[in-house]
Amino acid sequence: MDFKKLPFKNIARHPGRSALLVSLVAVLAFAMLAGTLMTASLRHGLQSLEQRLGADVIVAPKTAKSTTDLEQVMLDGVPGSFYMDASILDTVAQVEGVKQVSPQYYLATAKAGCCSYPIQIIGIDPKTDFTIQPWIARSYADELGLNDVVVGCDITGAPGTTVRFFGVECRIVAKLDETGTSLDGAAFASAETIRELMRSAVEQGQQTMDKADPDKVVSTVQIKVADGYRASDIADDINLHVRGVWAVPSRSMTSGVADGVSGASRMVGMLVVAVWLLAVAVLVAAFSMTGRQRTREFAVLRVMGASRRMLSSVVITEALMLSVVGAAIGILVALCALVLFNQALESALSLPFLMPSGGTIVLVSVVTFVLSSLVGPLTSALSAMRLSKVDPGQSLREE
Amino acid sequence: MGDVVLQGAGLRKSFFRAGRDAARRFDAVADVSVALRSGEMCALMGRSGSGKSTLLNMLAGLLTPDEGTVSLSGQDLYALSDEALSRLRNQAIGVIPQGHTALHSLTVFENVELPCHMHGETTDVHDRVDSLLEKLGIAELSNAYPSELSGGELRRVAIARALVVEPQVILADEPTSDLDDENTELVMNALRAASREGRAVLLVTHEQAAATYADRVMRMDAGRIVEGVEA
Ligand SMILES: Nc1ncnc2c1ncn2[C@@H]1O[C@H](COP(=O)(O)OP(=O)(O)O)[C@@H](O)[C@H]1O
Ligand SMILES: [Mg+2]
Repeated sequence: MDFKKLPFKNIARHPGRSALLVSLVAVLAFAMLAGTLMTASLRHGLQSLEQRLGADVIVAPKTAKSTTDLEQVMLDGVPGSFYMDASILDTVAQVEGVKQVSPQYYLATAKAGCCSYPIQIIGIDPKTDFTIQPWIARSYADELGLNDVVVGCDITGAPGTTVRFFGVECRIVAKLDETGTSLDGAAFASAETIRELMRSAVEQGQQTMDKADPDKVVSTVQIKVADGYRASDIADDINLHVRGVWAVPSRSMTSGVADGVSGASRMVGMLVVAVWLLAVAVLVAAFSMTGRQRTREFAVLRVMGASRRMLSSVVITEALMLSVVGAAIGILVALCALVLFNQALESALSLPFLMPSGGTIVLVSVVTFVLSSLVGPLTSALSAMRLSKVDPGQSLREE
Repeated sequence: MGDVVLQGAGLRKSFFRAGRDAARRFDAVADVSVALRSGEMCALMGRSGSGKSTLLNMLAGLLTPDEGTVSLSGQDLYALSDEALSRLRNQAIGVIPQGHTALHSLTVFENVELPCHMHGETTDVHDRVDSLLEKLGIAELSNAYPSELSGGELRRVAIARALVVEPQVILADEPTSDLDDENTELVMNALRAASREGRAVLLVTHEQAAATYADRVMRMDAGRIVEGVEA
């Protein structure tokens, strides 16, 4: 038997102790990885929401403030339809400090061919849109043609298939990347397309359009503010001078979500720190107790002629093997849990939740692996050092 | 009688002991000089607490003396680095410590062969271990774990482990305590045989009967050797 096999024999002959240490390291790795990824997903989700709401100020009809709330449509994914006169677009564009404007058109479907639940269709003007297009461009490079729709990732229906909205056959040209927000349950079309859908909806008696002409309405105006101006000032300006509309800085809309995200992140963070402190404390105790329990066995090894360095290598190898296995298990379980409970977490938190990119996940996993694999070996190395300061003749007396 | 192999000169070791008033130093071993010769079996006797184990540990390079030196074939043990001392102890000094000292993760065979694999490989380890186990009457226990063994069997494992590297010196601390007559005889014969092969053997014991196997008997009292120092 090679001396180098001794740590493995020790592990194998103490299955209970080994299993305990492996589980402890696994808990450590799990808490660290799951916690970090959860926090990262929340922040990523918030970021993605802010990007989707890319405008600095959103102008909606005053009625949207009370009826189907703008925030509900934008943040919670409750389908809604509200309209104001298209001339608002030009009026708002004239306001000082407004750099760019683009209209959006909202149409809530009833039970359409594709979905058993109502979804939100959002029309954009491909020529001026600066919020939705960059996102669509990641999945679909061409311009949206008549009766083309792009769907969020939660909508059933593969690209190339068609869906019916109010009797109009629409072609799904692309499916969008996940955003972790309510927009994942929406469909997007050009202004041209959505006007046709509106007309059709009115004809079918599914929509009243507030008796307006579909060609002469918009639902919201998205505003980009010029440098040197504050979104809140411009919103105030519009609220003061433009009748019948309601302007809101999008920051104020997402601030509730941002608060939720930072609250949840802080809680997860605190939980992770608590689990870490606890697990590290237990691990340090366990790995150094290992040393004390076996003081006599180590002394016996010294009696046989093992040097201090050899003893350290035995305990460190032992701790490293157990830790590596534990860390790997913890990381695997954490990754599986996140994949399996991703959706459940999202709805339980009712906050935007978007997993970070694969690269980030790998990076975080590697860092977690290294950190949680090191606690045991470091502790063991320290206790071995402490142990080897005592003459073996002394430790032999300790029965 | 052969040459002096292991020599301790002016050895002193003191410990603190909580006294009635304050902690107080006392000499567990005080100014002891001993010489062990190859082929000689030497018994060290004395009542419990007289300093026998302390002296043996110092001679084995396991306990640094406060004063004095231990030299093995002229090499000062405590002047060596840990690495060198460990190697030397592995190759030249077989220690049988007091009590039970088998490693519980290893089988009897693995316990005995372990010293051969510590500092480079030794040849024909397998045969050597087999014949030692045979000689000590524990060959059938080769694959057993220490938890399955009796006290006498464990002691024989410790002896086999000390003999396996064929060391120049064997230091045995009470190898026959709590053994029955039959086992005592087995152990004593093994140690005696080792000395007949030319090894220097020091046998620490407080049993009068065991001393009959020795070539020379030293007596220790209160940290000093009071009888049997080599003339
Ligand atoms: N590490 C130690 N710390 C304190 N006292 C010790 C230590 N080692 C030995 N002693 C004391 O030294 C004396 C001699 O011990 P020891 O050499 O074990 O005696 P023996 O082996 O002859 O029974 C005893 O009184 C013992 O209590
Ligand atoms: Mg003793």
